[in-house]
Amino acid sequence: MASSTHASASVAEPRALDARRVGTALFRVVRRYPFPCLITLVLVLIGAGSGLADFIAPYDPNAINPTDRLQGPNSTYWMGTDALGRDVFTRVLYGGRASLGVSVTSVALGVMVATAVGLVSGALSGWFDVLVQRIVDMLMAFPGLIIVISLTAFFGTSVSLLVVVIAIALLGGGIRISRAAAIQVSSQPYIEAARTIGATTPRIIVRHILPNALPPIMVIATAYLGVAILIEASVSFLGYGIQPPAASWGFMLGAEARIHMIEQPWLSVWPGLAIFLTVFSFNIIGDALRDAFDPRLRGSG
Amino acid sequence: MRGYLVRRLLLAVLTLFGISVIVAGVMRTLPGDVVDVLAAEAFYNDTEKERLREELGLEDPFLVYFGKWLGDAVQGDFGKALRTQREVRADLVNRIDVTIELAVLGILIATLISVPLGIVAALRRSQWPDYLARSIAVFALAIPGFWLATLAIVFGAKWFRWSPPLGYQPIWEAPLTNLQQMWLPALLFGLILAGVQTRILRTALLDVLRQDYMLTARAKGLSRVMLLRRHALRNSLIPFITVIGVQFPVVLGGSVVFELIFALPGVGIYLLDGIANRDYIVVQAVNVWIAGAVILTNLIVDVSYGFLDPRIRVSS
Repeated sequence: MASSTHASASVAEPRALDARRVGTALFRVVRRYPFPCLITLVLVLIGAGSGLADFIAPYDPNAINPTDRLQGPNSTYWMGTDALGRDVFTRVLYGGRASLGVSVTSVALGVMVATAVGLVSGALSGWFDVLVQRIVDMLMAFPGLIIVISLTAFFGTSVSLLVVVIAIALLGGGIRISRAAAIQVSSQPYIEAARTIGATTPRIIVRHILPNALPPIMVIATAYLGVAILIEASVSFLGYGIQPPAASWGFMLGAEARIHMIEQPWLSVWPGLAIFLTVFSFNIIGDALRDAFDPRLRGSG
Repeated sequence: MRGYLVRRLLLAVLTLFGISVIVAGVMRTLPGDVVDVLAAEAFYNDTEKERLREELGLEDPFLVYFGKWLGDAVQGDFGKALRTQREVRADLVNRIDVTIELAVLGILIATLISVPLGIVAALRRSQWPDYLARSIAVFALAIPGFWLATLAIVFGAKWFRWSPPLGYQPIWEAPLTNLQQMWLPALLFGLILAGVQTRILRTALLDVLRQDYMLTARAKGLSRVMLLRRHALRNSLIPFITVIGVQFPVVLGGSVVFELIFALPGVGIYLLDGIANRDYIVVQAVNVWIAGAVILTNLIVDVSYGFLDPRIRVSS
């Protein structure tokens, strides 16, 4: 979404927002990148469905209805019902709210911290850089899922902890990317020019390095949204993430649900499909963003 | 080359040391006290609590505690599991082979899939084989491993009346039984890992194919096969090996889920049991082991650069 609408918005911004102008620009972007735009639309639908679950969902997510348990998809229950007779479609919507909420927050947190640390580290070099690199080495030695579930053993399970821990799991890679971007930008002549006219280091980092290092960071942030969804889903699948009775995509595929899946296989389909579609969309948009920012790489991944 | 090796080795040791400090330290940063947490769940009385505090070294200052812990850990002694009172080292040794086998088979299968896909995609760039290979890769990248495994179990039972055999046998005792258990998790794991590998190999190959020496090689009349084998693939090896090294943590993390779903008694299950029992000793040991395995893999990958690419050998 960001690539297309962003580009068009910034073209139109200097004048008053002329609806027709924006419309033409949007049309041009859609014609040029039809597939990423379609995927963006899918993601907007997923986001809207989850965000507006309170208004859209046909049932109460926790309403138990034993007589209607374990049904397949039908006109009353679009995705069928689970072992307690709860509506699966409703729970997929609410699960999306939990999954998207956790992953968006943790990516925002993780990428912000990683950007700050990475940029400073890349721009300053010296002892701080060495220290940061050693810490990154340590962070990168732990698989994300392992960090997250291990820490729940010590600190228990709560949504805010989950957000922080997933952010930590993303930190290593994020710092590495933003540091590399900062080093690359730092060697540009305009940084030297800024230094020559007496700009202070903090000013150079914030005003010159940050905006120019942003593209790769935005690409990695989009990719990380997918990674965070996968981590959250895996952790909830194992039972250490979002706690029942709250719905989450991972838990809906977990051990408790698995007992009933032979009887009602549709239970195993929907939440996984939701995870897949969301992660897939984030990855496609990440790729499109990368291509848009760096045309030389177009179609190279 | 030797200086480079020594530096890498020192860094690896330093990193592992830092990790030990963190892993050992997390338990000490708990609000309150581990023993209270345990006691609340297991109804220890006061003398048992005292004994446990003593045993865990919680009475000692951090440095003393850490020194003891590290001294034992260096010798491979991670203490006794709190709940089962069994030696963690023995338990770990019994389970490592399962996880390693799953990881190695998974990466092997991923390589078998991604090498042909990556080559075809790069050679037929922007034609249908490329689009097909890239679509497969993008799909593989987004499929959650635990979902694929769950689908395999559910629909395997539904359509083929098949369920994964129980009762794990080590590969050197009963290779056939072992492979009967391993083939499906390894295949699914491999499918998922193949996504990243295909993308990297394709990018690396495209990069090499653009180089001037490819033109030279073609100009001197080398056949396409030789061109690909001697020049293109060999020069794409470094990014490819790198991605396998980078994937290793992913493999160990993902293995937890596969072990759980296919009932394989590996390190991942040990960790899950440790977490469920709030057995801090086990959780610490598994984390140090995994971090150590990752660091070792990265070290091997770094060293392999020197063998794969003479330029690196000379320049460092």
